[in-house]
Amino acid sequence: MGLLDFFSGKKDAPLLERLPSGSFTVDREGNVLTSTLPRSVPEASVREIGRTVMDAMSSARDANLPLGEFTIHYSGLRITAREQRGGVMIFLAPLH
Amino acid sequence: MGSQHKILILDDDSSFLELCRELLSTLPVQPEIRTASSGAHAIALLEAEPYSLLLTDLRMPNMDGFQVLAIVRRRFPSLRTVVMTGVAEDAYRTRAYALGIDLFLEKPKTTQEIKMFVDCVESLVVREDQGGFRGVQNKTITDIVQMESLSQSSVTLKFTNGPFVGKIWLLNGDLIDAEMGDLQGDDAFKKVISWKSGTFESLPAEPGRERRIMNSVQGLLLDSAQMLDEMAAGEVPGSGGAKAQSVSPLAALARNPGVEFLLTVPLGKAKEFEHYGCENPDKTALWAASTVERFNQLGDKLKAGTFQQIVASGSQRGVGLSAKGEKVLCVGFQRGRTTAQILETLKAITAQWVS
Repeated sequence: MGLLDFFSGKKDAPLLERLPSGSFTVDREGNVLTSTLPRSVPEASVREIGRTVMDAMSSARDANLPLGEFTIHYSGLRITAREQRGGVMIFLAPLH
Repeated sequence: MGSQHKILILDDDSSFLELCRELLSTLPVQPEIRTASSGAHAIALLEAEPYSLLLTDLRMPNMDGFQVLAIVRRRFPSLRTVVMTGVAEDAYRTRAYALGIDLFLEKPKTTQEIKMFVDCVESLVVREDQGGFRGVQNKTITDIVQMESLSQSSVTLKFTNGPFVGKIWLLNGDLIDAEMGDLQGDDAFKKVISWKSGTFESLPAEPGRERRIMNSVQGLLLDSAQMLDEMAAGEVPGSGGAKAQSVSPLAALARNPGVEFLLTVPLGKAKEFEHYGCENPDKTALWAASTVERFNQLGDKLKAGTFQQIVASGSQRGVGLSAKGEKVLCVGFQRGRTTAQILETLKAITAQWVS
């Protein structure tokens, strides 16, 4: 049995986290207004995404690059953000 | 002429830019055509690499054609310039010629006008190869000085190249003195002799002028010819053959469709950027590096995998960001490119950049 335990190795298998899928909106202050994300997604992560996107947009404006739509490509996730009146709408789409 | 002619067209009307690009790309000299929709972008492109000709509109928002021409005259005095405008008033024409333009054309409307427009541009591009000064077209300064010296003239030769004025004094065919800005004597002569085009005037001699040039005309002309040959071969004059710094390799990447500017910057060292055609390279470099760093950190927190690219678009232009190791590539795209087009071109440019 000891040998089989070695091959099954359940204890050491990496935990596969499912990347979030859905959309949410944030206001100019970074507060989450609406969301279709599952409850399992930590609110802190959602706020972090919103804040990062808003920072990228505002710093672009400061650099004379007014950009209203961002698509960020990771190997496992695509984030699309669109500036709207009063805030930003953000879509999360896992790629696998 | 070994290198291809480059023509820069500046107009805020994108459809006119495309029309001009199509018309001028049919010229027998097969020029490379670049376009800019704002004065600031045109200046950035002119700073990035040498052009044969600038065609500019006059009425444009933010920086109008006169402002562009004033900057061009100061920074790129040997660049040939053509105004093409819908405003055919004499006051505009006079002001444009006062800024040293080569030609003032109305925007072509009929087939005949289009043909004339293309012919005029071609003749200017071809003339750029030959050099020459207004008043004695197709004669170089060397030719003019040699002619005056051989005929043992006493004369003051005045050359104007954009904002710069140079004077050469001859007395009975001997070179007496030269002046250009703060330069005097031999140095001024060598500077003036390197000009390829401009305007030329013959002024009365100044027999009482103090002699500052002791070398013979032929000796100085030989020195200057050697210096010009070295410059033409891409060498730093007097360096024993050391090659001058070549045009940025980013210029080659900018040939990809729809590209407006390119910039590379190491992460955490925003001041050490390189760019081609970027209007605000300092700010753009800082933004590009901080944005990639920001989304790298976000990707790590979300366990979203490796950061690949960012495609962003706005009312004025699109921007693509990608990274390789510790270096960020930022590409600006012309307005109107779709997100898919930007992503496709960004991937192609990144592959070329990395290789």
